[in-house]
Amino acid sequence: MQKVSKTNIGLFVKLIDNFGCVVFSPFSGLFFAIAQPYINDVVAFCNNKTYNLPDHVVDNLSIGIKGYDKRFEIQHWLPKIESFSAQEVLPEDPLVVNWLITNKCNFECKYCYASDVIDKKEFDPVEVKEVALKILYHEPVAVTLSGGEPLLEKQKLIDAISELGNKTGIIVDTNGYIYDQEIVELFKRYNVVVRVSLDSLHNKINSCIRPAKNPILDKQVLNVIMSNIQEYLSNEIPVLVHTVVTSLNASNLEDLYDKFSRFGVNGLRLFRVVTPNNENQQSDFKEVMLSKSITTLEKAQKNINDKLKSFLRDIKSNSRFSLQIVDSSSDSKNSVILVLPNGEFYTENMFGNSKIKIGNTNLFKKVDLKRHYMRYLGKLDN
Amino acid sequence: MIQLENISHVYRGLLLRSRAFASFKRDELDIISEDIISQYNDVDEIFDPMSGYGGGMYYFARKGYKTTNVELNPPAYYWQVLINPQNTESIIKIINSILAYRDKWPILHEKFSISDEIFAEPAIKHIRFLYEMILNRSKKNDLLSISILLPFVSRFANYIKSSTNITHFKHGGFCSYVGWDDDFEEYLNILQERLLLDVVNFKESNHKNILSDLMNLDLSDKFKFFVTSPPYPNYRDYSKLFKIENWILDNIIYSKPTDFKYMIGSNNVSGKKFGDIQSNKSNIFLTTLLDKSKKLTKKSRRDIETYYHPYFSQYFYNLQEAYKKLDSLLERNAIGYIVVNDNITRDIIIPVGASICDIFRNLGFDADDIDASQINHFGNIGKMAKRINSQHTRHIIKVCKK
Ligand SMILES: C[S@@+](CC[C@H](N)C(=O)[O-])C[C@H]1O[C@@H](n2cnc3c(N)ncnc32)[C@H](O)[C@@H]1O
Ligand code: SF4
Repeated sequence: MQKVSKTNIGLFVKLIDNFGCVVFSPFSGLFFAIAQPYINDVVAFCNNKTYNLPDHVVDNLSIGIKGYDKRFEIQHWLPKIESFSAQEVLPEDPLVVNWLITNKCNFECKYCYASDVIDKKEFDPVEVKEVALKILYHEPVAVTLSGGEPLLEKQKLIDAISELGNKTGIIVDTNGYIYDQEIVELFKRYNVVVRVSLDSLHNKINSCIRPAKNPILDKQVLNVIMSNIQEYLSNEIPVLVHTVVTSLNASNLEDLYDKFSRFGVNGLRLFRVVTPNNENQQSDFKEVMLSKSITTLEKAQKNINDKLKSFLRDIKSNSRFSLQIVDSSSDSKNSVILVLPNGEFYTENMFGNSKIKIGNTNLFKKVDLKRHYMRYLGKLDN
Repeated sequence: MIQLENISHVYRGLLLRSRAFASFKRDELDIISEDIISQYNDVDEIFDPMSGYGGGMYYFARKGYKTTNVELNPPAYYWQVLINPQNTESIIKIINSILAYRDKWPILHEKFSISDEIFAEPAIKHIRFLYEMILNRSKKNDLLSISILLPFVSRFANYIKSSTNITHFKHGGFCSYVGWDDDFEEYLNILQERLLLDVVNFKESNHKNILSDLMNLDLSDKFKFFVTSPPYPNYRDYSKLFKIENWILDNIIYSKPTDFKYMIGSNNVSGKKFGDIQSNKSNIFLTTLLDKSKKLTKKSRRDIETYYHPYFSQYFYNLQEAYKKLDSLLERNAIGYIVVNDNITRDIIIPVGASICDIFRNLGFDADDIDASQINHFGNIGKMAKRINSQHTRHIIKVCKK
């Protein structure tokens, strides 16, 4: 039986043996795990048939759907986390694959952990279609198209989306600077979720952390990105903002939350910054982490942690504006399944000095299963 | 459910009556009110020469007294106008008229602005239109129009919103205009709801609000009773608390900016002068502070000498002059109550209460503390406030003019 399918109402559902199912909503960009006994009703709900489900299950799955605007605290494990506790081992089945379709970029962000591959060596050309098939073989409920900057390679992006579209959910990670109406039409056709990286609503600060390669552009960057976000939203494409928390923006999280939610963005994902493994980048990285009063990277991380904590004390993720903290692992466990521009499977290996190849059969030999699930579904224990 | 997320923290606090923004606490006013009721039966009107958000008016109106309230900071004064029961009926009418007119509200075409200033061009234009619209709906009542508009203008401001820092926020940055009209409607509805709830509890609706620096106030009436609370020397610059709203008043509504030169406790030290301080208690404190500075590091010492010492000197001097002026507005045998909380700086109690007693005694009043209690106070404004106010002594000083 086919494990992943696009349902009538547009949600993507992946059935997982002895677990339940995982849903990706292209309306909110959110993932949900549904316990085994509820699968049939969830599938019925997703296909406009009669169903019998607790209200909050329906509520969570309806986030972002046009005309639905109830407000409540988001729950990712449905109907509740305890429904999964019998699950000693998680199934070795990937939820998301992160496809770096290009290693070209028009920015040079000071912390970028992709910089070890960006513009460095040319990858052998690949058939996009073949890579897409290799990825679909693992039946992820969604594929993230990333890079580098995916909008720099328009044809590749179009090919990738056309191959994956309707077979799995699609998320595009972009720095937001390039906007292309033809691609937007494709995004609309296949319900693509866009995630835009932005670190500050002050242009100077953002450009200090995420400078454009061409410094002449820096003055306009924030304006251009916000206009593009506005365009995506007015085309009814859900937008999540990605913010990497560094010493330069850790004090302004409340402001980011406030303004993006007010602007109609669907949610904010805050990343704990990962020290890039690229030797040449250490001094750039220190620029966004150290200051007069913050003299070591340890102090910087501690400060960021404190700021995140106090921010989270007051603010909760809710259905009108989702909030997620994406943890970098504090040990050497990897959570992401990467596909590099040459079509090979890798994982991030944050603490070594390059990404590690994982082969495309046993993905979870080097990727930590629990972390992989947590990355998309939040905490596993209550 | 009450949201009001898009209103500045100050107005949100005021609209939802959060305690952090009250100049008096309820129990303080209860003590005063009991004293008044048990001892005097000729109280008709109560004067508050530094009335802030009008907490005194709000309380005494419910007890059936008339009030006269003087306030220097325009947005605080306009807030008083807004909650003054005398205005409630007219304000409700205006609100309803604005709401009924929703499809003709000015349109803001821009979705956002990025600016280094507090307000970007589209916002300035739009606020002008909005003000015009409210003026027209109110039959050109500019006082009430300003009062209704002002709590909402920060919705269009480019500034970094922070619940822990409401006076020294950074301006500039991004402002989203998306959905401003829904937010305006929500604000008007909540304001209306609050006014309607309040109005049934007021027993007296005769209240005057006067926008003036007490030092320049010229009144023909003299007062027999006053209740007030002084500004506190807590480094929070209250003139900046309403920086956004004052910008609108100064640049869009008035022709001349407000002068905060004499605002007591504002921390604008440079260039201000002070004269002879007569209170012994104040002088002992000022000397102790300087003595203490000699034992501290060079930097702390310099801070105290160039900043804190002049700041507190100005504070006590200005307070003394303000109460002298107040004295000139009081009848013979007038009675007054002053609610004071003493803070601590560098482990030294700042003797605001004791100095006020000194000031009034020097003016020939009897002055006594009718309630000195130690309280731990945790304001919900943020960490900074906790550090400064974590423990203080409350005084309710009763003064009688001889
Ligand atoms: C490598 S980028 C690729 C997509 C696109 N160019 C962009 O910037 O969004 C993917 C995400 O990783 C984030 N990122 C890059 N370096 C990081 C680091 N050292 N720690 C945490 N997140 C990082 C980026 O900000 C971005 O949100
Ligand atoms: S835009 Fe994305 S890929 Fe490019 S340097 Fe920045 S984070 Fe890295």
